[in-house]
Amino acid sequence: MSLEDFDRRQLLTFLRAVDRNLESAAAVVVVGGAALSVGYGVEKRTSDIDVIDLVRGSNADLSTAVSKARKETGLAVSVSPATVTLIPDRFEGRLRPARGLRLRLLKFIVPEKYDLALSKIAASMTRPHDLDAVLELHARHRLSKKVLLARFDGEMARASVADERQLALALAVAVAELYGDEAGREVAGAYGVPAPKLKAKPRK
Amino acid sequence: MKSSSRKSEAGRLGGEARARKLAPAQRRAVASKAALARWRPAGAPFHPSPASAKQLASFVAHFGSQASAGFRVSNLERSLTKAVALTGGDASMARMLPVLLWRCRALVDQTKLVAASVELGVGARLGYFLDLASRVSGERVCAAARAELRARYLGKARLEHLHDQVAASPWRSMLAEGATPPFARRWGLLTGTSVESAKDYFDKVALL
Repeated sequence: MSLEDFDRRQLLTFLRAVDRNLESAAAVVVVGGAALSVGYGVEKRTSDIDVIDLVRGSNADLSTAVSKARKETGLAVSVSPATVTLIPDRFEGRLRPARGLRLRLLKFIVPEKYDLALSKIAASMTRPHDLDAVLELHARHRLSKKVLLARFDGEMARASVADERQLALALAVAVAELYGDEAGREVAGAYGVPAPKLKAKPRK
Repeated sequence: MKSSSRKSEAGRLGGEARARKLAPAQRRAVASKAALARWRPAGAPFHPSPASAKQLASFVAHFGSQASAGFRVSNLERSLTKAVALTGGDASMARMLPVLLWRCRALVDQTKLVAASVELGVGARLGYFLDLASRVSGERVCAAARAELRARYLGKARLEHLHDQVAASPWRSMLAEGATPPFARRWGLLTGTSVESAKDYFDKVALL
């Protein structure tokens, strides 16, 4: 298989081919880069479609449709179960279908934007470039700092993770990049994680 | 006379109406032909002597895949080393490289590979990526080359960020330092990428 990253147009071409090849209705909940691209128009390319749940339809039907779609389109998109995903606790109650895809049988369901953003922020603990997608999401669909921090504090801060401090640091880094250095420092202080030293401002 | 926008709209509606009259199998065939023409143009999937960033990206993405069967590069070792040199500015390249190194492990002349990496000043980086390829695949990828590079660079290279964009950001730098595994530090690189994350990607790609 070619190692490629796919843009939104390619993902849509692929999804429409999957849709054409399904025998019966299917609904998938997708997270990660593909959810951001298809659900929110983020242009950052992604290598695969991470499925967190198949809420309707059969694995066999979907798997066959995916294989046929690869052959039909020449796009070797990987569709696979999402690996460990850290996401706000109550994200399932806020899922929404991606709109405007013109699919007959396939329903493409994505998390709400704050849940996706926080999931990507958590992923940036071990993949720093995941923050780029959050920045683009914010540019397209503004993320309120108040809502983002409240969602983290209420539904992620006490998640069972190997390194809670690294998660809090990832949040502080994201807040700094989204809302400015001072905002990042406030969050770092609130969670007891370090902030980078400020460069001395040149004297006038 | 209709304006051009009304003519386009009429043409589009007519096209959709004609498409609806087609049987499902015919619609699939039309869509497939269009998609293949768009995303898989005829010809080699990569340049035989990749040099530019775009050519190297295409080489890394396609070499060793079914689509590239029968196509060769003129100097595999040099092409791999040039790709290593680009990983600082291309996170996708950095992610794909361990998979590519694993794919062409039986084809590579390891002596030439080490020589090319030393010449281009990326010996430590190559050592890191070969080490990572071995860890995610569970196989000894280019063991002789790794041993040579370990002797030259392990524990000796000055620490630097793998990704230029991370190096430029004090916040991201801090995050990356905390997330860099010990073996990457020994190669002189602050990667911010866990072996588990690299293995997740490898496992997804290797299975297909």
